[in-house]
Amino acid sequence: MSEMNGGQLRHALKQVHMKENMQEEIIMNVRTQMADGTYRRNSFKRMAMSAAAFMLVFGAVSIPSYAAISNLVRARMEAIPRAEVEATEDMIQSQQIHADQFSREYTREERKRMDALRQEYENGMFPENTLTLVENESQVPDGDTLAYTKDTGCFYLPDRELTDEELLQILDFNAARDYALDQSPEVQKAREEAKAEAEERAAQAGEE
Amino acid sequence: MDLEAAVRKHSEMLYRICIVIPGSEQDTQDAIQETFCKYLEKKPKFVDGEHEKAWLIKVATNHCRDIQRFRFRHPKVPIEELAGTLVSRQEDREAVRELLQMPPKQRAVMVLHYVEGYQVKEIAGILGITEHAVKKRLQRGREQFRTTWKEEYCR
Repeated sequence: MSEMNGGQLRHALKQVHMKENMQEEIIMNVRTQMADGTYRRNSFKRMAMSAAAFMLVFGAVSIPSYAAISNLVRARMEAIPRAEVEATEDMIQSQQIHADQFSREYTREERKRMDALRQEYENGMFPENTLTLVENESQVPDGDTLAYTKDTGCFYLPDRELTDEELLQILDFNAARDYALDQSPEVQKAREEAKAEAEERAAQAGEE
Repeated sequence: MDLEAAVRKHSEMLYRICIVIPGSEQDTQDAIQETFCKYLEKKPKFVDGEHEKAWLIKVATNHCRDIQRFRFRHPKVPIEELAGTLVSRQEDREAVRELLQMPPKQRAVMVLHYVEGYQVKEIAGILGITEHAVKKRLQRGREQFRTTWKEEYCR
């Protein structure tokens, strides 16, 4: 049994690959840090900055980035009114957390269904309603209602099993947050700066 | 020291090991970058390729541990989302999810043994822990996997 389990783990981890361009980013960042002396000198500062970047980009949001979603989801997100996108972004920026919290863990069955529904969602199966958002814990309706507290970034899951509709609401909410973050001026600015830097480096490499 | 060649050769392997410890893309990239900065700074002399690989793993896992200490008080990225991001096949997700539910120290040992093929003594040397500790962590990891597999696939 243990060999089979080890084989299963090996198989799974061998499917894990770095995102595209990460090797190039690593090479570029290491060269930059070694050249300008930022390596070692500001170790703690860099870690803090990393935390800030994490907060900004991944913060309270699921890991798959907005750039990775399907055209159907993209169209759905782009149809969200601008004011609503800005309200979502404001909510994310006001939360002092690194990741979502949950009132209880997902059950094994819920996890399985969420995995399956994630694919369905990408293919255009969207929830009929949106996730219930409340300001804080005191406004969470009851133990039978799925809700999300804006102040603490906590999903209050019902005591019973989540329905497919509720799981889709969570996926939809996560996609909306990714989209809102992607639209934020900070992320747009960071992206433009990174693009300009990459172009400058490419031009310098061409001259050499 | 050829940085580019070293990154091309070893970074995928380091990524697989590191991503399951701090559990985020950004932290993993930071840990790998720190590792290669140290690689250039220290310019260690390696006996062979295996020696070089083991050195890189040791440094990278140390950085991951430091990052974890820094994040100790923060909630983790949801395992659910991370597993779904890393692999697509259902059984692979189950395996990654089970691994991520183990304590971080146990994850590193499991990956080094089952994925990278290191033996107990080698893992002890890389992680700077006793062989007894490695054996215990492997044993606990196997037990956890066995329980899950019995529940999920042997009913």
